[in-house]
Amino acid sequence: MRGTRLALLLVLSALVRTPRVAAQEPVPTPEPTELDSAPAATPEEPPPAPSAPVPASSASGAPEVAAPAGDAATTASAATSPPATPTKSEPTADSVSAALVANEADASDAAGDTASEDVQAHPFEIYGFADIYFAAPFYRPNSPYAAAGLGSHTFFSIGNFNLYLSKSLDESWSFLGEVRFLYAPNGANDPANPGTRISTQVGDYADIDRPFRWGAIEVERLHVDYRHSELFSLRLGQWLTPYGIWNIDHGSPTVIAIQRPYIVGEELFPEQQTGLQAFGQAFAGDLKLGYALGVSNGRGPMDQQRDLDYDKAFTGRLEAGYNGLGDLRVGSSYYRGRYTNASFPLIDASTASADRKVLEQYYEQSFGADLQWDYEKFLLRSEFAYSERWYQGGVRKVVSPGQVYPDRRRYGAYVLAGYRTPFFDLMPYAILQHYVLGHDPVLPQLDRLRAYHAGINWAVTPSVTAKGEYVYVIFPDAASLLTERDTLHLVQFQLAVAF
Amino acid sequence: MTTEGMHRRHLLLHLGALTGYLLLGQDAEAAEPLAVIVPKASWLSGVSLQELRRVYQGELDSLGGRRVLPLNQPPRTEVRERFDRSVLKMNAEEVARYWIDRRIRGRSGAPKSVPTRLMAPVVAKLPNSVGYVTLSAVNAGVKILPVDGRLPGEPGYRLT
Repeated sequence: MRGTRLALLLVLSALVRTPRVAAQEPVPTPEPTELDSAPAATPEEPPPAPSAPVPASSASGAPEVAAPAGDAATTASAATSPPATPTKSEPTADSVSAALVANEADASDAAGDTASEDVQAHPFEIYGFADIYFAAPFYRPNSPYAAAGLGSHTFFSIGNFNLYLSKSLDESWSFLGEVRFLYAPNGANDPANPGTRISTQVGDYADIDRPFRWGAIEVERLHVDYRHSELFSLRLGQWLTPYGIWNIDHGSPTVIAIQRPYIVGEELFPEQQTGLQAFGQAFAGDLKLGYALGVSNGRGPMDQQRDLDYDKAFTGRLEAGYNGLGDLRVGSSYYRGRYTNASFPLIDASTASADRKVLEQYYEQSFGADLQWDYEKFLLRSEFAYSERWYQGGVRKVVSPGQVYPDRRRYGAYVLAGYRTPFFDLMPYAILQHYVLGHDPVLPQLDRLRAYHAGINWAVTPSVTAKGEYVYVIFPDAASLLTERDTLHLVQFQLAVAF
Repeated sequence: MTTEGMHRRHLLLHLGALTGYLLLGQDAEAAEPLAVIVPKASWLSGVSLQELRRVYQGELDSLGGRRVLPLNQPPRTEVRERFDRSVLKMNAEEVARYWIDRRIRGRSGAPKSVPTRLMAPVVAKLPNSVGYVTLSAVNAGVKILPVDGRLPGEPGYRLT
């Protein structure tokens, strides 16, 4: 073995002294190289790794390339078989480079004439996720829990079906859209007529009016990003509010448990906002610092399209990461805005004006903190959120005749711990939640709750995740509404796929 | 430094790395160390393992103040799996899951893969690219980047 090494060294030494020879392909302005005449392969040279494809630039295993830098691919093509007229199945350095630079303006000179073809060859990326859900609630059939949306029977359900459309427009601009397909509003409680289910059943005009039920599409997000630098990017459109962990993780294949924690699902922060966001990050050794600042319409009855007041909402987030002990991240977020709901302006010809009536108006602010720690196979997630709203000079919403919405303060937290075992990639996890609902005028008896979850997350494949979970929820101060028999036990399963 | 001098320096860098690999106790039958490569004219002269990890996880898209284009070896190749293990500290399934999660979060996708035999030639052609190959696949159009100040084959080099 030592002899082999010495022989190699001799070859390499000779290489240094060997005068340069012409490149295999003539070039107008050959760039001199030190290694442009590779020796023939010698029996002593170590062969390439058997399981890896033979490197085109050095079938002999020695570091070499005869061509000047700008023509390396030509050399590579010449060194492989077949050497000429590359086909579709035999990509060359030129074709691969051109494909790669379709979104890289810096390297556009290397793309040549094929860049435009490659832009066309890289249309929108379409991907997404979906999940199928099964639940078995355990409480009496007429328990108040049955009104909470789960019903009281075991059931299967299609949970999410989300599609993403994304494209890098060039090295600075990109687009992302995400839509969710829903069966709703079919089957939902009709707010205009409580206790009645909405039916979307209509005749199918393409099938002699046989009945079918239509569903809806929800735009989850749609934004255009402009990246100026690592430190500064802009995002314009409808974006997920940059707070916490769950709201960003977002999709069922990505989140560990089956349902969102109460503080996330109850939207102590708005889930999405429409406006302008600046964000960036900086690194220093094992440390990472990030920020996000946003201005938006804030919350409203139609905040994706209109702001019904002049106050723009403000969102801010700071986060820090440390990679010295696994991946540790802490963050803190803040939101402040004004909610306004108002009637549609109607023209009054007698006064030549169009007036509207404010139906509800309040200020709100939210504060949150989060911690995420991944250490080898162990992971920890925790979020705290606090939200308050107050009707300072605003119009309160009417709950019932003589009763209006009070100012409200909600807060809560959850802790999730899990461990990814080597056994079939199973991850047992546990969650503890505490949530204070505040003075909910609709159900004032439900002031606070605690929830305990124990589950297993199974990464069947990178694209398929199965989850099973037992949930136990108690409302400690709800004796007037819930009896001892109304402890909420729930067993649920979810199969989530990314595609 | 003249062009000739620069080329000689690159050559010596390559030879030094290979010599170190051959002489410093590495068994020739063991896997060749991986070399992180950039175009010969690149502004980069070194990279830390942490930076490399962030670049290949999509968290960092610039080095030395300029955008970089990281290029991956194809999935399920030996070189790719060794790189993922030593730089990202993940196996193939974990890497796949990482990118799925990241895309669902709405963030950028995985670096583009380039056929193994074309990695060095393609890196040589793209001014802002960075890639990795086995040491013997290094060609004259690229230069090897020291990782944490160490070249392939030197003691403490972590891309095995």
